[in-house]
Amino acid sequence: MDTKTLNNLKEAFEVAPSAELAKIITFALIESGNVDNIAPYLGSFGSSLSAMELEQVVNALESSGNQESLMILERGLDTTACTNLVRLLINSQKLENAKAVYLSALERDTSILNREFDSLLGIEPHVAKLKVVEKAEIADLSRYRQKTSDFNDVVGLDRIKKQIHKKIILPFQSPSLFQRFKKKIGGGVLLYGPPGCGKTLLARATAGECNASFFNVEVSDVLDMYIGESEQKLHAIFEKARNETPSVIFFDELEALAGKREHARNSSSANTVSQFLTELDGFSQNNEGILVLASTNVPWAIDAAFLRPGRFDRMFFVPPPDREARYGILKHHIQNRPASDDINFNALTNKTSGYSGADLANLIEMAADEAIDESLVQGIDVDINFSHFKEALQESRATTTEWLTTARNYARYANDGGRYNDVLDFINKNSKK
Amino acid sequence: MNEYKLEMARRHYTQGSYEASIRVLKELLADDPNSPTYHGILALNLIAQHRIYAAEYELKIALNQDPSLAFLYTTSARVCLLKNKHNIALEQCDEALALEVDNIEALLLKNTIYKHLNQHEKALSCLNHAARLEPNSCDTLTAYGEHYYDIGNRKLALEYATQALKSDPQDTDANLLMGNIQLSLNNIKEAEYHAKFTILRNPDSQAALALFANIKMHKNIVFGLWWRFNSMISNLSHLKGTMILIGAYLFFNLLARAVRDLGYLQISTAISYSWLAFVIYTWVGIPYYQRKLAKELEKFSFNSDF
Repeated sequence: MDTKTLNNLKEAFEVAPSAELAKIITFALIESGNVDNIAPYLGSFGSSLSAMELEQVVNALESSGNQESLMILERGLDTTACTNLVRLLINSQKLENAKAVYLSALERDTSILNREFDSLLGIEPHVAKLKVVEKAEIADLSRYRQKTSDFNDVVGLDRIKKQIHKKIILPFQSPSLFQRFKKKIGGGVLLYGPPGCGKTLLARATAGECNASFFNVEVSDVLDMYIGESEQKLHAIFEKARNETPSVIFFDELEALAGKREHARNSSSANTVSQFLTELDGFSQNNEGILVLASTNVPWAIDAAFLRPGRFDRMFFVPPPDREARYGILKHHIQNRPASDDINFNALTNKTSGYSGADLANLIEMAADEAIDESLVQGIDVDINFSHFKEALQESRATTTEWLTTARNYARYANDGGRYNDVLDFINKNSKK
Repeated sequence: MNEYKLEMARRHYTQGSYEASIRVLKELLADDPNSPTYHGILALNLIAQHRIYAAEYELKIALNQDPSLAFLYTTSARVCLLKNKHNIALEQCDEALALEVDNIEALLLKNTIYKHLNQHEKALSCLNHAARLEPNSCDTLTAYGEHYYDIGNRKLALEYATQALKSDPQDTDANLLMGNIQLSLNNIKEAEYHAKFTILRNPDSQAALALFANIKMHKNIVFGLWWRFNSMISNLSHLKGTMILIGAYLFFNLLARAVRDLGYLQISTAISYSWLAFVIYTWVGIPYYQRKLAKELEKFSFNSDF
């Protein structure tokens, strides 16, 4: 390429930089031996370089002995080209350069993460992961440990509280009595029901009543993109709980970890399920004194193996709050807010059948918003009054009905071993005839 | 992360939340615009929403990217089936079976296509093949139930429908079948329950709306006909609706003119006015029907004591 054309292209690049233009100019400069001048174009390649072209550029940079240029090149490449670059450097035994480029690329784009690179470059897998997701080390489980509450913090749900007290809390409080009858303390309990009805709150309160360490495990704490890592994390959580008995481990949204294996599309999900089952059984370890609580909105999506005796063999249905509970929840949420005396809580209770605890909290929020709007319009402080609730009621709806519609079919047709008898009883008792 | 999102998209699709599934798939396609899997699942969602041509377009892209994915052919067969192109649908199923000899979806689709073509023996043979592979799947059991329902064996049909529902109580086809069987057995309340459940899960299902209208017809024939007429009209696309209005306009006009030419001026005027009435009805009557349907479909409702 003659100098005039090259200069024209350089001017064009300055006006409108493009990957293709950068590529043409770079190769022209390499061909003419002006490798030192390619720096301004190195960061603009994107996905335009093939593996062979990339090799040519790297060789040219190497001859100029400029490692900084390598980093500029890396920053301008897309994920595939970046992976090619690391591989190229590894293959040509430039491991230091490869490591620098790989770690720099990881900071920018986590999808480049590669176990093979980790091992070839001598990077500890978890170091690479820390670089990527900045997570705590697997073994450090202190963040799972959470504060608990007690049954006084749970409004309503008296029947289920009584059941839990009798079947779960008493064995924790009077272990000798139960040990005398060779009854195991702990085990697995599954709370299920419509969303927003207090399953998590109840689990937390159960732990509080048991006076045990409470480990709240979320799906994101366990699931990991590395094969085998999820299983290790799960094992570590159970180990930690075994070391701190009496303890309660709570798994929210159990279906994400214990979903039916036939629906799992990759073997790693099935492996996580198997590991979970092993931990629950406690074959090689002693699970005495560990209560495993779990909650789900979709009990029918849980792998049947989890519901066998010795695992989550006690299932408690957490229903939507009844009249009395709704009254209590509304009163609970309105306290400490400026509220007028004209609010008819009985009428509100009547109009909110099927509302979950979360729906009721939301209703109060909406009424508060109405009061704020009115305060702004009138220029004076207005308390929450009944008319604000009337407005809020028009915009809100019960969210539990959809769940009950679905659950009714499961209770009617897939009620193996009377698993959903509680749901069926609830529906028969409370549905409109 | 993408695998998790794909799982979410699939889950949304199986749960009938097609819009949510499409939203996730669009996010995935923004990352990887050429993935045949994403395009294929997007096509499945579009089919469920009766957006046949859009689905066809997505399938074309997917098959261009990777013609070795069996599920793309079965999805394509579904499109052909909806367009009543039975022979092409059969060819697509055969393509899928050539790639995967034991593709249950293809076998069950062939069963459906052969039933449409009134070739019941071939349909049953495909069904038996599918049943040998997955005897307890909801789809297979439902297909058997439909087969026995079609040939008039209500007892066996009921048995299979119950088993199908046991396997997947949320399956719309199984619920629809159960509704039809219960109606034929005169169990109106049960039939209504399943029809409502199916419409709630799939509001565009013409078969479910037809079942619901049939139930209404069972109670009152005129009211049932009104129900059926409205369910058909309200589910039309804008294009089809406009074409029907233009067609109706031409029909009324030609009829009025012919009657006037015969000398019946008063009747001709009445016909002209009835066109107006028809237009007003489509404006007022359809929303009224939709409100009524929504009220009928109210999900679980609590008694006053709760």
